This record gives sequence, structure tokens and C-alpha cells, in this order.
Amino acid sequence: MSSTDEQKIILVSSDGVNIETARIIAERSMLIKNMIDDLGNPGEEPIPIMNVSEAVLRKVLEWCDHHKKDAPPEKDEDAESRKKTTDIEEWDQKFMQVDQEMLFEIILAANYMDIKALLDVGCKTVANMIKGKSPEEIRKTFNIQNDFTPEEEEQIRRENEWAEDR
Amino acid sequence: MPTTTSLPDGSPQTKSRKLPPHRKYAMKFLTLPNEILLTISNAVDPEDLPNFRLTCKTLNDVSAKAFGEKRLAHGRFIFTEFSMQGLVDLTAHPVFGPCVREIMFGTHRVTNNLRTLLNHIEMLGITDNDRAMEVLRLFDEKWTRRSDFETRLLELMLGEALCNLQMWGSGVILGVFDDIQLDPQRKAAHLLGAYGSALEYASLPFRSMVVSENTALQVIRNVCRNVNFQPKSVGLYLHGEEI
Repeated sequence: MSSTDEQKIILVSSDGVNIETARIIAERSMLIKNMIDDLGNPGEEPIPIMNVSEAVLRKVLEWCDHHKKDAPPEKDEDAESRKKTTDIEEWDQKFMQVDQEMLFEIILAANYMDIKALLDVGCKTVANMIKGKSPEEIRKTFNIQNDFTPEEEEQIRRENEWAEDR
Repeated sequence: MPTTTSLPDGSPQTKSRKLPPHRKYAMKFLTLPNEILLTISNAVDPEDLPNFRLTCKTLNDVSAKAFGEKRLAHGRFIFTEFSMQGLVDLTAHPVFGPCVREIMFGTHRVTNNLRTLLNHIEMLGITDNDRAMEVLRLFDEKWTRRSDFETRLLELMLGEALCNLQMWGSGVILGVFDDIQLDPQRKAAHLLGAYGSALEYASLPFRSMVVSENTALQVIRNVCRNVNFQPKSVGLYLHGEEI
């Protein structure tokens, strides 16, 4: 086991940069793990990560490095997403203190590279940015235009009342 | 260890009111693929979903299912026209209707008991006849409107709601709950909210109500029979006592 763990592999970012990393780190990504399993002979051929730029790929690998010893991802997809949104461990919270562009890039990369736990952390980080905010404050945070007609907005407010129990 | 873009002082975005210096990128949120926006919606705290879906059409669309499943599965309603109309609309809704899993109906209603009313007037310290009449009229009006609704419309509307639920084919628990809860010493009472209860009970004192779980259960039973609706089970949440 440990011999394959320490194996080095080379990833190629979308902007053509080679990044060397340990197999155990890269295999937090199910995309990469499946590619290695399919290709055989890991380490010989660089693995292209088509949709992820160097900066983002390095950031993602930083996360994978920190979490390389975590238990393998649960098969039950819902188990993790049902946790409370505030449950982000401290290291991950610090890791996610990046600008919005990078945050969304990480989320996209986690989705593309099939790293469920990182995708969860990213989505929870966004959820925490929404916490306790009014609709207008959420719009400001994400630069969203209100595109509802007054009637549509009224309809949604009515539906929201169904949830309020009063 | 590569740390490419971490902010040096690590100030979390949740606290910053204005946009970060990378303003041009802030547009990015809505350009995330729907699949991702859906995953984010599922991570949003249920308490925040009402405001989240009020921001814009895209987020309203992607968060509809999460909102329905997390906020509308367990509903509390009372036997007033406003509340029943809400139930009919909710159950007919193509996305939210199928999310409904449990509906509880309040057991309390406005009384027309003369002694209760006179006690209430006395408690308020009203000695003026005209003002006393005003209070009586308020009760009478509420009571008449409600009993009129109960005889003419209630079973029809509830029947419509149950037919809507039948259409979705999901198992639904029906039941009753005490909307007014007394503390054990009978010193304080508080209203357990239901859809439309603020409208119905505003300005009415708790002691103007009577408990009537039998009436509530009978209505539910009649309507289930009429429209041939089989609840998954029947729930009783009767923590209160007769006032």
C-alpha cells in the first residue's frame, strides 16, 4: 500500500503547467483515481486535468494533501450534505478564506475532479455567506440583480409564509 | 505548501459588507452551472431559504425543491378560510405539493360562551357599556364568520386539499395539535403558531378560546371519508388542557 501511496504522478493543468504530486494526494479525486485505475502504469504518463488552471489545481491539491489521511468518501451521497452548514472544520474554514472568484473555481474544480468532501466544504462556505442575510444583502454579496416583477416577488413572499407557521 | 490566493489577514467574506477588490469576478455566482447552484441550495440553512429564493429567478428555481422539502413538509393550519386557502394552494403547487408529509390542524377556536366574554370584559376593566358592546361585537363577528365558514366551506376546501395530495401519491400524516399551550400552573399560555393564526387570533385573548379536538378530528374524518383519502397515520399533539 505505502509504496503506491508514495508514488509520484504528474498532473497537467488546463494552462499547460506540469505539477508533480503524490499518488495518495491526487487520488482524493475520484476522476484521477479512476483514470489511474484505467490507465495502469501510474507515473509514466502525465494526467491532463482539462478544466482546472494551475492556480486552482495547486489550491485543490493543497486541500487533498491536508486530507490525504481522511477516511475514503462515503458511498451514501446524502450523509454529508445533511450535516449542519456551520460544521466546517477550522482548517477548511481558513483554507476557504479566498476571494469569491477562487472560491467558485474551487467548487467547480471539486465538482469536475469529483472530490465530494471538498465540494461540500465549498458549498457550505457559500451557505455561510448567506446566513442571516436579507434578500438585498445576499444580492449585494453576490452581485445579483433582482429580476422579479412585483407580482412574482409577492407570490414568493406568500409561499414563504406557508413555511412560517403564524 | 502552495497557497496561491489566500487573503493574508484571512478576513472571512461573510463579514465584509462591500465587495472584495475583485469586483469584476463577483458576477461569477450566477454563472455557476445549475448543477452546482443546486448543490449550494441544498447546503443553505433551511432558515435562510426564504430569503435566498427571494433574490432572483435563477436562485428561486434552483432552490425550490430544497425549500419545499425542508420548510413545507410539516405544516400547521387552522380551520379558517385564510388558512385553508393556503393549504389548498400549497397542496396544488406542482413542486411544493408533493413535498408535504404531515399536516396538523389546530384544535382551538373562538368561543361564543357568554360567561367567558363577560369575564374578559371585566378583566379588561371595561365599565362603559358602549365599549363593552364593541368587544362583544368583535367576538360575535369572529365567531359568526368562523362558524359560517365551518358549515359552508371548510369540508369542501379541506376535501380539495386532500384530493390535491392524493394526486401526488405521497403518504401524508394528518392530525391535530393544541394551538394554545398552558404552562402547568395555568399562569401563562402561549400560542403555537399555524398558517393564518396571527390573522385569526390577533387582539383576541387566549381565554376567549375553547379547545375542540373532537370537532377537529371529526372534520378530518368526515372529509377523509368523503374524498376517500387514506392518511398514512393520524397524529395527536395535545399538550394543552381545556381552558
